[in-house]
Amino acid sequence: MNANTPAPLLEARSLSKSYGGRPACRQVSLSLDAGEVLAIVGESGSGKSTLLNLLSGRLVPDTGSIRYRMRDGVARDLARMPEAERRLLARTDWGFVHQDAALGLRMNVSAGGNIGERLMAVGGRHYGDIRATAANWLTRVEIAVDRIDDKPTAYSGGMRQRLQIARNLVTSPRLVFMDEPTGGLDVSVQARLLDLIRGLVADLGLAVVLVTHDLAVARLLSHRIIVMKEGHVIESGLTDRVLDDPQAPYTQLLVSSVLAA
Amino acid sequence: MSYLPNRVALVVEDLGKSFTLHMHGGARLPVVANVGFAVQAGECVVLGGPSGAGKSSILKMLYGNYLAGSGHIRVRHGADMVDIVDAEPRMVLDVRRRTLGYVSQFLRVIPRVPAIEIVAEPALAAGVAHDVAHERAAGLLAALNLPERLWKLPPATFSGGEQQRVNIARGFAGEHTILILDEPTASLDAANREAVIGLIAARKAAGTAFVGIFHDEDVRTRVADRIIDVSAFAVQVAA
Repeated sequence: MNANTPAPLLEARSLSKSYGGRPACRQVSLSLDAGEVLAIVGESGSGKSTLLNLLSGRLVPDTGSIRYRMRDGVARDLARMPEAERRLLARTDWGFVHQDAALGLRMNVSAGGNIGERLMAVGGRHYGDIRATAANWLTRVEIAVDRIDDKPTAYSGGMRQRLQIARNLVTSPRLVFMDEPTGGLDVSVQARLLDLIRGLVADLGLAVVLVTHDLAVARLLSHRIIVMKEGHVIESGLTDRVLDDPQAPYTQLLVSSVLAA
Repeated sequence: MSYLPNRVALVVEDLGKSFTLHMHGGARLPVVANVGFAVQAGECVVLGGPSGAGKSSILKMLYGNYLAGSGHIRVRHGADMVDIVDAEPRMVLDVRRRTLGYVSQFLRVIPRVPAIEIVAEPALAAGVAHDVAHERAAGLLAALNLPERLWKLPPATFSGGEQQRVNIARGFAGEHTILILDEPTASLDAANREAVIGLIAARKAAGTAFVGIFHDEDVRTRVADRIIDVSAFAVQVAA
């Protein structure tokens, strides 16, 4: 890497995590640049969700370190960051999109309130401005503005997921973690959501760490891919290279197990 | 590295590839060995040879889509020569954005995205302004005789030939300095084959280097400056 290359946005070194002696993530290192979409794929129990939770600070690694380049350009070690500062980071410069929108939304607060809450975390105080921004974001995620006062409980699964995305993006984060964002949705709803995510990620220049077991989702959204099995990284590289010319036996099995529609 | 004249866009040296099929007892499937050729700016090199000789695999290695087993693929990328074989994924993506385009045999349809957006996307990715990219996309779709009423529709419901014309327009929209063509005219009628030949000629005149596969004899002889018989790179199997 030459001196002109900016430092990575996120850099993880030798991350390991065990649950009661059973390793879920073993010596994983990776880096992510600004605007880059990285997919972590693997089957259930491969450790991909553990890795996502480690990277996003939701879990503390047993060993290893994670550095994040702050807006001032200085890379900071997340483990050494005061808890309050880390939480502020998670509420403003990061987003986290859960598979189950109920985990990422306040189900008893209106859609407008769900978006407005994140804005208030970054100092938004003016009610009219917050409401206008919320309305704008509802439009961007293709939710009719007249639904702004409805609670997410009154929304369909696809709408909840789009609302969760709006809530995450309203603070202009640079990095968004996504855990199976299209999982559990009907196929037609999935296609619409994928297209929406693809467009927003490109327009906003977001960096994304995306966990999915769906290789088609990884192909559509990601630049690079990491294949995990039993906590190890089995293979990594350019997304289309890994999917079209997989090298590792496990990756070949995974790719050849997908039914072509 | 050896001296390379300015006009050289792409140099392939000792390129080799075999597939190891782990699902089938680790069987090794040799594809090509010792592939070597160079392509100048403004030149169109066509890969020839029988089906199964490895033509498509070579194109996919040039694009970084297949992993080369050995050798080098040096691409003039701005002021640098980048070796696709050992470049970092990020560098390969940058080469694809600014230097190296690829027209596949089939359009990979993205749900809900209109034809004109699909075509404009590589130009936008290369940093071209929105209006210019859309003008360029419209010009290409018009040159390829795609009816204007289809431009704002997603191509999922288009015919095979219409989808392929969207695909070709997309490939040309990036105005890359090197363009890889994998049988782009296979599903086109005579008038549209003619349109593609015209597009290739115009880009060659502008200095684009082409590497392609064309099964249509007429198209091949009209676009090719040189034909390389890929069967010369067949893997020698010991008796």
